[in-house]
Amino acid sequence: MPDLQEDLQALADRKAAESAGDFDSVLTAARSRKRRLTAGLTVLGAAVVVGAVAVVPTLRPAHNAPVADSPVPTNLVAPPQVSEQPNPAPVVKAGPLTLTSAKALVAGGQVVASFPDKQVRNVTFNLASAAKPDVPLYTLVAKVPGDASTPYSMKVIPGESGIAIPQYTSAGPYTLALPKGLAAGSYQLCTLSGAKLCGLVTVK
Amino acid sequence: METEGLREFYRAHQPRLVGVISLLTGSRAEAEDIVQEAFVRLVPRWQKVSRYESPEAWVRLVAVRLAANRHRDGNRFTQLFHRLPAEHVPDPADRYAGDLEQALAGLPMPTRQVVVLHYVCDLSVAQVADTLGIAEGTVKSRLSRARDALSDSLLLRSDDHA
Repeated sequence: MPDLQEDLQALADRKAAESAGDFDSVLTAARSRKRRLTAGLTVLGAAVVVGAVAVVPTLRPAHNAPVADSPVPTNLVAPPQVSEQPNPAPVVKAGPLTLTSAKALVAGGQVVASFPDKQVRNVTFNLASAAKPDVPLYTLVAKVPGDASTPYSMKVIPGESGIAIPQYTSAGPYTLALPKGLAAGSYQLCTLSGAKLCGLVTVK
Repeated sequence: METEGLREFYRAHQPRLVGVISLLTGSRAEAEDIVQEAFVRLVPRWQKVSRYESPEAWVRLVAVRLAANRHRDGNRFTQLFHRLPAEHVPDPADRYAGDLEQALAGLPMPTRQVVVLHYVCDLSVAQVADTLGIAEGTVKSRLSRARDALSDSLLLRSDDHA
């Protein structure tokens, strides 16, 4: 149908010839639209910030006071409960053992132990590393008046028991001799009889 | 530099595009508004669109869609106020109102789009289908219906000239 195409094109050409375009107004409209878009985004951003600031207080936790006669469960929070569990094995609390010249001792040096509770005890003591107080290293026998063989120390060998000790008791003070081969470090010295008393000895 | 290139493009294609869109809208004044809007949308995208194989096809597609949107919105407005008497106010900018133009205006907008793109813009059936996002068979059927509807006006005009 060539007539139809020619007529339609002629009609379009006639309309085109009558049209009056203005490129500058196109540019102006495009630029002002861009400015409006930028301003709109700025306002939108500010609104988002304001909204966020307004929302934050509403996110605070509600108070937990229960409402009387409330038909719905309130925000009551149960307080934490503390249950007391008895200690099955009472631990013997180590009391202080007063030691003189307990610092800067050398191996083989002597230290004087006295009991604050003034209780009568045997002449035997335990020496263990301060890092492992439950593992006795030596049994120390304090100086017994009239016994020139005292004081001395005996290395504790696991599995062996029944050592001979002087039958002497006193409320102290006792003079003890540290083993000669003792390495430098901190040691715990404890009584072996009566209420347990301990003190720290430092060997350099 | 970019503005100068865009200005040249505008001078070269704006009048013809107004002519094309006028056949869709039936009003040259409305067509000028639509084409102006299409070019306003082109300005921020000019750097990208100018590298296309056919930048004028981009602007034409935008304008065709804008015309279809206005037509749809106009129909909604008419339906909304359908109780008001429909009064036709002739556009003083439209000095030519032939039988063909009236017949074209009587076609549905989708059919008008196919006719204008095929007969006025010289797009093939496949190109029209691709531009409008419809099947080629749909383009052909719409063209067939359009030819039938427009043939009467052409015959009438031939009789007048005879």
